[in-house]
Amino acid sequence: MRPFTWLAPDTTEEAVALLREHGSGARVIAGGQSLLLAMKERTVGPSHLVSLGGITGLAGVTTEPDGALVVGAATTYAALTRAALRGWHGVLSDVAGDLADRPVRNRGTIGGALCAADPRFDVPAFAVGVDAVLRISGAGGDRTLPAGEFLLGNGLTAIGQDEILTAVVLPPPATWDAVVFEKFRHRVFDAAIVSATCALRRGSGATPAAVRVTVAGATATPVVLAVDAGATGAHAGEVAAASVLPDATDEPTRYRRELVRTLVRRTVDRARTQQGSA
Amino acid sequence: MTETQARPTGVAPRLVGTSVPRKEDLALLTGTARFVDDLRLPGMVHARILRSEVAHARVRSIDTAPALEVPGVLDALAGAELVGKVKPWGDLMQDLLVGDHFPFATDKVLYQGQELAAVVAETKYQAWDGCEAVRVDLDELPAVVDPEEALAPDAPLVQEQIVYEFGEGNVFDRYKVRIGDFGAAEAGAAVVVRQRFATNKQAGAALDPHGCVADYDSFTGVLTLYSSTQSIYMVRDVLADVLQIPRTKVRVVVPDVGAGFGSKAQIFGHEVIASLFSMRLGRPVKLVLSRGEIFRSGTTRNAQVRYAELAMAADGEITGYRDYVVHNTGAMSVWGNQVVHIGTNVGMLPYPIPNIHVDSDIVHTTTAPGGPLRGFGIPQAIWAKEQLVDMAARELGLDPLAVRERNVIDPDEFPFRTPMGHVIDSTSIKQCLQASAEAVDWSAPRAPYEGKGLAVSMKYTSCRHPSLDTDLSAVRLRLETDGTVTIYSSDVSHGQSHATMLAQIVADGIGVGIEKVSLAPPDSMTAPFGLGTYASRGAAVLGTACRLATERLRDKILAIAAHVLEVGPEDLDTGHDRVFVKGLPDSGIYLEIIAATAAYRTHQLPPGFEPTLETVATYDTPTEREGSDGSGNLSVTYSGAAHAAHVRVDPDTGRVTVVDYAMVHDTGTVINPLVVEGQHHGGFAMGLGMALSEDYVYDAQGRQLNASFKDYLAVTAPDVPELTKTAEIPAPSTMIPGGQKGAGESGTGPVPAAIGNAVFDATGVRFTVLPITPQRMLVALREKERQGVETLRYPDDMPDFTGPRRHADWPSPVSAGADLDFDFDWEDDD
Amino acid sequence: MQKVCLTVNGREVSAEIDERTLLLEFVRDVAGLTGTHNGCLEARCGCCVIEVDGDVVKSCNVLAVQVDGAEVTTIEGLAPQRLAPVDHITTQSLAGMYRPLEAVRGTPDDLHPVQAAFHRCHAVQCGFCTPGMVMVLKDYLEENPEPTRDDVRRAIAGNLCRCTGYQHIVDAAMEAAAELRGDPAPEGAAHGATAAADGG
Repeated sequence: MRPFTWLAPDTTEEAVALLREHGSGARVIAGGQSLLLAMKERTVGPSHLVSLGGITGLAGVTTEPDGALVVGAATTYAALTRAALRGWHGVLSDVAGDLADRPVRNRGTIGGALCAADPRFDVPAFAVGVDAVLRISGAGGDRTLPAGEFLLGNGLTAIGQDEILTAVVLPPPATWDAVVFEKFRHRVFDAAIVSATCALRRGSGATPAAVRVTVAGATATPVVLAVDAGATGAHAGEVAAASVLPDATDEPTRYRRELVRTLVRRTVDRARTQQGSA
Repeated sequence: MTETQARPTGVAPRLVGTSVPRKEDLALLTGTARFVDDLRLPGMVHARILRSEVAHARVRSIDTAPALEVPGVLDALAGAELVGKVKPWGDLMQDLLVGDHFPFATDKVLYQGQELAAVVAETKYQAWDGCEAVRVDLDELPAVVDPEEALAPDAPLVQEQIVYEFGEGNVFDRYKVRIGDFGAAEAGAAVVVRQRFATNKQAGAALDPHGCVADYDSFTGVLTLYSSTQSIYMVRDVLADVLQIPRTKVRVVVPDVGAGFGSKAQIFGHEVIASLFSMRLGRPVKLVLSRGEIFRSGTTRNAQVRYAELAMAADGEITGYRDYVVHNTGAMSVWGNQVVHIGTNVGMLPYPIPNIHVDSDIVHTTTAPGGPLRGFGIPQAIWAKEQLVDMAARELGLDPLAVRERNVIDPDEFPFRTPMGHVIDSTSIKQCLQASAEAVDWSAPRAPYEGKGLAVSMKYTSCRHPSLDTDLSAVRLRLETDGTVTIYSSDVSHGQSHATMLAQIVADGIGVGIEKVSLAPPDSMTAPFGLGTYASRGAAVLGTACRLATERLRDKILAIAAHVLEVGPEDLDTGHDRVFVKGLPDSGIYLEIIAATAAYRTHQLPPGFEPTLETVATYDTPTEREGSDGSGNLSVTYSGAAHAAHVRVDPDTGRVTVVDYAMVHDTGTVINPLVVEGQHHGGFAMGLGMALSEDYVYDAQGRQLNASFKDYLAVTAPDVPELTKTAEIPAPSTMIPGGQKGAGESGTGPVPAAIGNAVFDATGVRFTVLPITPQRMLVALREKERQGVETLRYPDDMPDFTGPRRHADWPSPVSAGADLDFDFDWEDDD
Repeated sequence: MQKVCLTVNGREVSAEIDERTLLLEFVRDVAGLTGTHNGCLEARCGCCVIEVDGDVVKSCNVLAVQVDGAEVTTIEGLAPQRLAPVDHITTQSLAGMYRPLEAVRGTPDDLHPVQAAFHRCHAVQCGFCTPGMVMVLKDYLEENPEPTRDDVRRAIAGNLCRCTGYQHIVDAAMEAAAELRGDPAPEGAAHGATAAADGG
């Protein structure tokens, strides 16, 4: 690690001011589970670390009047796992409880996962998958951004140097009637090679009114697929495999394409089953 | 006898053969054990090594001067200033030292992670700062990652400086076996199966990092090295030689060692570098490697390519085996050369194959050094051979179980000598095989995408290596004047439970309570000379030395007691911490009285008795050196392992799950059953990693892409099946007085082959490379569908070879000026 | 430099430290407790797991300044009375030094039940991963008193062990769970599932 100055503001405003003051050398640290790994290897060397740990109100889960779920950016995976969330919001608990490992879930935060923008992380994939909106505070005021527009590439986000991600907002429960997340990873604590999310809204008949299928891991940012609402899992899987990695020839890419096919098929089938039984 | 103890100590029943809870555990469980990184010496400073980012390069210059300007930096070193002052070290190849190791790269970098320079500073951060200030100018050269490409005449030459006795170009050494006549076996066989099999580069990845603290005392001139190593004398002798100082001036002390698996069975550059810094500064220097450094610069399981052929008669008899092995020993080698010898020799077991023809090129590549790792070449040989057995059986329409039953060693009389020269003193391998197959319900029908596979192997218990004409261990015992016993040994325990296992032997031998027996830390200043802990030698070789020393100590104790009690020694027995007249176990003399007599009341000793109660015993096995035809009995006895795997393959994701696994072993007489079971479990897990996930992944420039526990797929708890079918069918060794056989590595040998055979049974895909990753599995399944075939060999469907390479096919010398008069004793290969 | 004060195993430890000091380094170098091990520094191997305010963390991936003021429990805190020097070997005290199998059940005065079960079941080989394993399992079993063997395997998925193949560790966790629940001790068997090798 390289030397840095430790800054522990009490409020978001102070934190933003510190980021503005110290410029491009300053970095936000929440749980630090991704950032510290890079700092220890000296692949990044911030001059200032602005800790979110002392800011009250950044951790925890609240519900908006319309039912939207506001998850504070500094909420840990472990806290999300324990949170009693209603309906498909509960899938977020499942996702948070089935990644990394027990000690890491106690430190890692949902905001940290989004800002790390690792294509293989589950939380960014899920956030795009259910069309979550991110709240960002900055010197110029607050703004919101859909998760899909926040993630710009491997390790790249739309957040400004003097901005802080404060919350992830999942749309109200009524937005989707079924949400299914599936992933494949080598070992339990590994990041996913490929993940798929299917969010589905029931129609009047057997055909859903809307289906949103998102694939992550195989590309730099999650991909939302154009899938016909009436598509079966098998069909959606074919569409996904063909559109996400159309030119697979080498073994690793061929494999990812196969996983995309499998996981999209499974999520769509499971979501359709769930809406039927819901 | 007035005291009524709650639990009298030192009471028979014998402890050998029982699962005595370990004496080691309390310190390890409470966090009070001391590993090398836990050492803190007064005035200690911290060193760090600057390692090459590139795999193959010419060194233009390395300038450490800027590092000395960095705050806190005390000293810096690079290769140029050590040339001529520090001796190179390397492989003892057929009594010839190949000095391919040096603390730093001098003219050329040979692999990513090789040492370029080192800096020592007051703090770890400052040492790192210093490393960053070192100016390095390298001229990158093309890398050679693939061992077969290294054989090409125009391949980049890795080792330019060294002229080898038996090799040239990138060929470091050659190895051959000529037993019987494979050509005749081939002509008479009902079927000959052939396949090219490749194996992976697996890491030991012991969790306790390689590291040391060097502490030079400028007053006495003694350099003390605390190191996380498996062998104190190998480190001491080589270190003294490298530094050109007397061996008495180097003391190697080993704290607790958090495992090795063979990856710490040699001296490493960091031990030399820390020693040099300590000698230059007169201060203790700590140098503990990071995980990434250990991956890049530690030793790995040698990867091999085997062009293997197996001849089988119509009735299933294995009549011949032929193989051409390209053995990748990385950029340099201390043990790598030996691995192909031993792995191939012992890897022929448990079949008495009459005709064996093996050639091997041991080649350099610009990858991490190859070396020993749990199994020492045997898992690689078994991976090829045991799959060929299945392939031949299927071609002949025979049951793989029946074929193995037909072939495994099951003689009417022991000792039995195989054509390869192994002397089998006892074995239950056939019963083990049958029991393992039965445990997984071998004959039951398979569910879709499920399959079962068998593999059998035998593992050496000790080893007389081609380059080391020795196979000894030693123990010194001292009955202290308070009746406790101290065991001194140079064979480092790093998970093998020596403190418990040896104490069980001593407690039984002289009737002392096991709680009174302790194992001294390995220290070259006090321990008798021994080779170290590797090759599954602990229980059998070290255990035998301990038994001999115990018998000698017992004789001396009885001689004193007989003199005092005025009876014959034959009338005495031991137990309850006492020596007593047979039949009177509640009377007698306490051992502490006898010990005190031997030390403090010497006029009471029998006439001519040499005072004090200290004995030493060295046991060198009655093994043979390797013969010129490759034959020989290299191990004193052989432990058997029969494994049966039951796997399930997910056709959508390619994941191979081992759902059931039976391991039935012959480890001879077991000293501590729970400890031996633990060894088998651990051996299995390492075999599982080799089979399904672990490998070094390199890019074309020779840079390792997975040098971290994030990317290197070490086996985790959910990956391992419940190992409830682990059993022993003991056939006690008749060569080893106590009947023991080696336990440490026999759990690994058959695992990749058993899983490979089970995967074929489940899917019809015969894997020819390791590991069988989900990626390879799924792509293979799709390929099989695409081709519309019943079975598929993947990724090498059918290689275009019809026989092994011959001597004439080897690449011609490319090292300029190497004009040695090679005098090969090659037989006619026809 | 930054002042950090932690309560480590009930003892207050405070120091002016370099901001870069990891919690692992604070525990090992400032508090002087080396039972918490550094096996990778990548938050992967799990050898450095300790408890911070009742939750386990990988201490190699936390800055000490991040947890200023916290209560920390390390492996040394599980059986503090066992850490008194026991090397005074005399004939009189010897009988008590070696405890036979049945005596090593965790009690409030002795080893923690997880530690005791590790000893009984031979869940320790080289012992380097042991402190982290024990800390994770202690924490896990407090929240999940009735786990299955698969649950235990997932609970320690972030802890590597290269020696044991995990089998005896899972055995020990199941025994410790039973003991923590207050179940009567099993008859005979020294350890769980693998006591009766049924393959032969």
